[in-house]
Amino acid sequence: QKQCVLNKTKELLDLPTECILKIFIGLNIKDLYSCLFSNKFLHTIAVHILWKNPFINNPKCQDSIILVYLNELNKEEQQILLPLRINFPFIKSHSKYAPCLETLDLHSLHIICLKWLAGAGYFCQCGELRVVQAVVSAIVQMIMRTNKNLKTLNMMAAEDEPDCSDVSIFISRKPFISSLHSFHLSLVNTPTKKNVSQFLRKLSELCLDLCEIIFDFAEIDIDKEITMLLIRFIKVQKMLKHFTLKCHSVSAEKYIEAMDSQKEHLISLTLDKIDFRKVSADSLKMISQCEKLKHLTISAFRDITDKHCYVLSSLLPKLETLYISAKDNTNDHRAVNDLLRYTNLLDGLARIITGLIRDIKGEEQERILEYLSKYLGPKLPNDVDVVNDKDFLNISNTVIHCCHSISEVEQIYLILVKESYVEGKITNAGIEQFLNLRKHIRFSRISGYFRNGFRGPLCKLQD
Amino acid sequence: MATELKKVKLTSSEGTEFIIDRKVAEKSVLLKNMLEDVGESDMAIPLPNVTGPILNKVIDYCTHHRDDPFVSQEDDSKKVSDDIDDWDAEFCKVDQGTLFELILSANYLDIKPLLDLTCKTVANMIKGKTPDEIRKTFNITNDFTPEEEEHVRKENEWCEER
Repeated sequence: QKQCVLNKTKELLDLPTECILKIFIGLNIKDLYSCLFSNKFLHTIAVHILWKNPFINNPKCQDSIILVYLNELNKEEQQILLPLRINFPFIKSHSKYAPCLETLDLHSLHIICLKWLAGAGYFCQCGELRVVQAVVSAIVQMIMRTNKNLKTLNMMAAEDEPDCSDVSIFISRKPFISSLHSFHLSLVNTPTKKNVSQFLRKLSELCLDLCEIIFDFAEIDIDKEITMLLIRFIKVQKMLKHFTLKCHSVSAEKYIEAMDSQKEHLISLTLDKIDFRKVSADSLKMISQCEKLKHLTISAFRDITDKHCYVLSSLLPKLETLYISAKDNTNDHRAVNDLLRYTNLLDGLARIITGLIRDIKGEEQERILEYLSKYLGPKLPNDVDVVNDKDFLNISNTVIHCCHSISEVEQIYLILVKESYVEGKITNAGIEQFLNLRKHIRFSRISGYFRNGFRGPLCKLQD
Repeated sequence: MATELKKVKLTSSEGTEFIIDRKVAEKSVLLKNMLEDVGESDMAIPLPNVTGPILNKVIDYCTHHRDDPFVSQEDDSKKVSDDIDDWDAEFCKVDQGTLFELILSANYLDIKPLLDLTCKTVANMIKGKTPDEIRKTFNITNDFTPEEEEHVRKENEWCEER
């Protein structure tokens, strides 16, 4: 502990850890990276932030993550890997990295291990998953042993993926599983493996204090047993605040109805890929009974009807944000028409989110633009497909310009197209320019939305 | 009821007395809780960790922001935006020593918006700098050996900018 003489001028290093942590939270990855090298004390604090979730989408250099984690295995965990002739040079490191982890994304961990092993020439044939499984398993065991900060668990269960091969380890670590804040489950195909259903059954006994649940079932139909288990899982939660459902099958209705158990707590709800032919308007009434609901997202939906819209419209006066977008690459004219009708309901909102609807092409796009320009102002561009810096600036500029004329707009969300950024079509320079541009805007807030976290100057956008 | 008009007495570390409105004092969660526990009293509250000039600045801040809505510690749904308004920016134009004293006092007195503001100001001083520039700015010595530095570089390769 640093106690200094009363009259000495205070310096940065005189501040307690919690204050420096608070300062560092305002920095982006690049700046934190610089702090890593500035001084050992600052290094430790920067590591704590950077290594909360190292599995964000960064295709480069992820080998270092695996090597760092392997370096933290104890003798017992190393034993798992020795027969596979994986040897790890022991490096005496200044920091322990695994205890900082807050989000354990099993799927990403699996992918990174696979890439690392392939790069290191461990297998010539794909299908050699046993080794990957062993590495993942050793690392997970190590994390379970050393980490007390884990808040989020992301897992993906699929027939051909070994992610969940050792889910039993989570059940055996009760304190870990019961202190989770967020649980994200993706199911890729059916039938679900037996150990996964066992895990899910246990989960509703152990994990009751979740703040957030994300279920991603994309295009598959979930069997009855799993649906039943997951619904029970929702119902046992003491205070669920955020729920995301990506589900196009009939079971979507059951999950929405299960929100009844959380209607006093739910703050935000995201419904993705919902096929409204399979979800009755009556079941949506459950949503309108959620007293605290402030944020609603309905994306990639299809075949929403007047009835659905009518039920949802009763919610609008309470909402702070609403984001809607029809199914991408859809040929379904109805969905687009419904979207247009639905946007009419926006008028009552204090804040709107403007999604740049890029995946809709041709006639539909023109109609949406026509509608938006009626709503936002006369100057929307004809092409909203963001492919380069110029387009990006053009569109953001115009949207901002249009919104100037609407006094109620307090907040705008710009949807940045992740792929365009990753592929370098939108560059940091473009985003910097945009950030300069926003300085002249009167809105209290502008937020960017970028699914897998912000990097580089994008961090400035994140609030 | 009449809390608006009630006065509170504070003494700084060197014994200087400050008399302020109770409403201003209540921007500090520490003082608010103290006042609620103690009830009405003419006794001055001693603040041995805060010097007179710093307490003066803190009172300036709390007076300017006296009518702002209260932001709770647990309110995770909305995080503060990175924009600093003109008055706040002007308020933070002080030497480093004062700025760090303000952080310590805001932390001690539990005034979240002041702590957010001062921390954000320091963060802005770090942004865009190299490790060497950070050290120069804050008068920090480099305690890494070249070998350790190389380890750090290897271990954190993934967060290097693409």
